[in-house]
Amino acid sequence: MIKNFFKDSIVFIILISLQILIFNNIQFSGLINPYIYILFIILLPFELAGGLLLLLAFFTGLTMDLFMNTPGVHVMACLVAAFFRPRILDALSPRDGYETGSKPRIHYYGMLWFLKYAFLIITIHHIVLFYTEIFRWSDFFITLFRALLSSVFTLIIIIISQYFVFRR
Amino acid sequence: MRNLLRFFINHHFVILFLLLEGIAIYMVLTYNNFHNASLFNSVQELNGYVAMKSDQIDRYFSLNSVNAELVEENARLRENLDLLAMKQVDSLRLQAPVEAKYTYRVARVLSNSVNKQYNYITIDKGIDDGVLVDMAVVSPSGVIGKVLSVSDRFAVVLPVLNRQSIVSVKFKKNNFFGPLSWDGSSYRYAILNDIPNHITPVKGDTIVTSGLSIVFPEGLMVGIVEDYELKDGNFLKVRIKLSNDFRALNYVYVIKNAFKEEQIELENSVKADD
Repeated sequence: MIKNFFKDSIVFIILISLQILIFNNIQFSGLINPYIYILFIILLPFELAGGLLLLLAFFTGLTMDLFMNTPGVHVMACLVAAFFRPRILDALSPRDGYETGSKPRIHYYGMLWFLKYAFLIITIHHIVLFYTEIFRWSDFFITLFRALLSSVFTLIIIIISQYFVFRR
Repeated sequence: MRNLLRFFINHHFVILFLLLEGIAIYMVLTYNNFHNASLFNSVQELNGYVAMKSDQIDRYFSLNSVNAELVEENARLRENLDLLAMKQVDSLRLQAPVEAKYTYRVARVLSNSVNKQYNYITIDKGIDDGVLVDMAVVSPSGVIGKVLSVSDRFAVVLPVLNRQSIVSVKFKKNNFFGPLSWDGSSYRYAILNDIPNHITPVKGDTIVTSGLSIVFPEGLMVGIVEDYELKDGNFLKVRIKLSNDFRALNYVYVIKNAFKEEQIELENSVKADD
């Protein structure tokens, strides 16, 4: 438990740093803004489902907001993503449920499962994020397009990262 | 009572979610107060430090463009100097030296974005260097924005490319003025509203700051007219191509208005009399 906490904290710091130092500077025509730090919420252990999950999401979002000078936008997106996480996990669970001691990663449940799971979380997060940031309905479709395009880009980066860093 | 307690325990996930989400929505709605929060100020110093460290690495990659920019500005300033020297020969001299109204401080851009709805620029000058909130920030090619908040060594600038930003600008040719804002779509263009419809903007018309607000000196370059459309019958919505390329900012100037306090004081005293 303590060991996991230590490990997760390091993952958290690395992801936030990567987001701020590298991925925030990616600017393809203003359309693609990948937010890869959401990987932190994706990779949390299965057992983490209750209030602690929400509090962690809140903390993650707040950290991003403070570093990006945005008011509550990331908090909101992270909370919604964390709120739907247990439901998505339920919906995608294999016939015998999740094995104890396993983690939500490609290594345990395969590429297809991870792809579905990560895609849903990322898309929910990005859609909430982009609409809260723009905060109006007038550019509905261009915002949706930006959110989906960025989700796909984030997903690609996250899948690649799974083969290099978080293999187990 | 026990049922109520059970209800809370059973639904604690949803209740906590709604509670935290409520806090987030409150933060979004009270956007303008956000920058005054002490939490934000304490993080800003750290934020600026991180940006400074990462800037030290990638400043080497922009040396060429910085050089080109500086040489260009040198040439322009030299030209102005010659013009001034020529003027002095055949015009009256002022009897007493006047105190300069505006003083310029150079600052380096540490972090910057153009692809968000709320873009901010962090610069490496803060209270220690005399930078204060609401000072104007310009680059050699035109207006950048104004200082939003300062810490000891850093300042956050609210650039034109932020949905919260409003700059009072005017047509250089006829002095009709209006508020310049940003619609969040392209970083090359901003929108000038409230121009009466009997004005006919021509593509390429120069737009400069109006000098009506205390923040910006009059006549700073903002951009040129790209196109326009009629809005609600009486007013024009003019699209302005910004003279600054916000993606390629390296050094900026923070402008200090020496007579600002005096002006504010005077305006306040008039308001108080009403």
